[in-house]
Amino acid sequence: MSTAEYSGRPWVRAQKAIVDEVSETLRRMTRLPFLWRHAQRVKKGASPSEVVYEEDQLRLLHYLSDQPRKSQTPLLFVFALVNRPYILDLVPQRSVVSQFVKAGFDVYLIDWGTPTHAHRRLTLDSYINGYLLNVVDYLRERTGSEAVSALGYCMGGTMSAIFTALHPARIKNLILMAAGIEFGTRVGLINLWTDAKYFDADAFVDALGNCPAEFLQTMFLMLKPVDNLIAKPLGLLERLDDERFVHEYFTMETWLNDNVPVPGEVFREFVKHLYQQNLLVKNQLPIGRHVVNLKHITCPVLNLMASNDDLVPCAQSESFNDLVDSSDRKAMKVSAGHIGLAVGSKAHRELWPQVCQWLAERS
Amino acid sequence: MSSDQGDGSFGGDAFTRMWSQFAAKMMELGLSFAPQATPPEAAREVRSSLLRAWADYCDQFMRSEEFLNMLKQSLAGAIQARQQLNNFLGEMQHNFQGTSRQDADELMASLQRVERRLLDETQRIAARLDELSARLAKVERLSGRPDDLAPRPAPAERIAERPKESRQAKRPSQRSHRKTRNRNRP
Repeated sequence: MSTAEYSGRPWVRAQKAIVDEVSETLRRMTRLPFLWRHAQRVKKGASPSEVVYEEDQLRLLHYLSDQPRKSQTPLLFVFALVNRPYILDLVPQRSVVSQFVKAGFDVYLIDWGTPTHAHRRLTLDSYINGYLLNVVDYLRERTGSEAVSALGYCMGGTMSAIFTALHPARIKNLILMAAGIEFGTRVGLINLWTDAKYFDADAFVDALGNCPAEFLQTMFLMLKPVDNLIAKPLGLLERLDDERFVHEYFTMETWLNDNVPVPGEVFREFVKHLYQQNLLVKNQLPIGRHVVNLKHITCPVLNLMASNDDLVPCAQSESFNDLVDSSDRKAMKVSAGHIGLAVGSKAHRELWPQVCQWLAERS
Repeated sequence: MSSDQGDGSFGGDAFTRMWSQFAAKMMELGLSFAPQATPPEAAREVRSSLLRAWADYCDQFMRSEEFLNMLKQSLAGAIQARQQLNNFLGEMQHNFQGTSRQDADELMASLQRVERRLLDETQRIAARLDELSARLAKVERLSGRPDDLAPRPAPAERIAERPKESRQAKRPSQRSHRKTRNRNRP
């Protein structure tokens, strides 16, 4: 029967559609045994780099480029402690690092490494006034620049903001990407789950030491359980014959399952001082022997937010620009999720070129 | 759908609401159903609606008092079990004259306290030396003698003077030195 004949017989068309769908599904299922090849081919990090500094578990990566350098101020990516940082350089066509390298910046990225039980007593002070300070001073020495530009993502953004408040002379420009600053909101699920009424951070850390990677992974999965456990696998099954989709799916899943444990004392401080007591916005956050005052931030700041972010809702980031003393402040929002801010095609098309432009004007 | 966060109850009412909302969405879907749509397309629409309703319900449930209390209890149980395991293993290791994890933790804590005291002392000494050097330089300038012991230049000048050396990346087998940087310096 031809198409024209089908159009006049809806019930025949419906049956044909069912048969076609079943045969397509069975054809796609034959690809299932070969999925492991995609998982094996996943590369962690797309852009060429070299390790230029190491301290304990920390490695500082310098991204190599043939492009002529257009800016003398080095750019330092500061990622969170809960995941591996290669999300910022996941695939060549959607790499935040690559955008800045191609724009002529001297780009560096901190890989915090994987803490062991021996690191359970590291505090935020150890990371901010220890490791991060050493890295920044090393970059200043290596490049001859008085100050560096910092781009912090998620928890790395919070840490970058704290570092800039404590060492304002060392940071020339500060870019925050979905960074939690105001933890008093109850928009996000994590804010609710970590409430002092329901979560005893002291007992947790005293019993377990480091916060296990599996705990964090489960928590992130449970933010959107239906999407993560049902919709996403169904989406994969329906597009098994799309090689590019399958490769990107496995690349993303590799990163999503690549959580690292968080040192116990860092976890304790982050939950108690930030999530539960919200001390950062009150300018009462203790870091070592110092108290963080966001008013000490006077450098240009750019606050990037994702409007569909479930992990760090916009409400947690929006108030940052009002809390600093910078005269040059800007906020940009893009319609994306927390991870989409880094790997989404819309972000790479619309947001990151603007960010590169913003930074170039101030470097 | 209103949030159940405040009223503390998330029982049968929520289930009823969830399924009635789902039924309403199905009716809406039925009204907008295009006759030319095939059964697989219709099935996908139904599945999408079901998953959306389910996701909304899960989000609301995870904000409810019931879930939060359940979370608290399960975490408390898990922490208690882990603590008992830690205590048991520690006691067993002590009975065999071994070293337990708690012993190693205490040793690390002691080392960190010593490190902190040393760094604080180093910082105090460095500040005192800078002060003395500045006073000595002032005295020598006033007396007309060469300024040999001028205070160390500021970091910006130091960077300009020192040749640029790229730090060699260490092989993984080599332990990196923890730099004796004053972590408490503002």
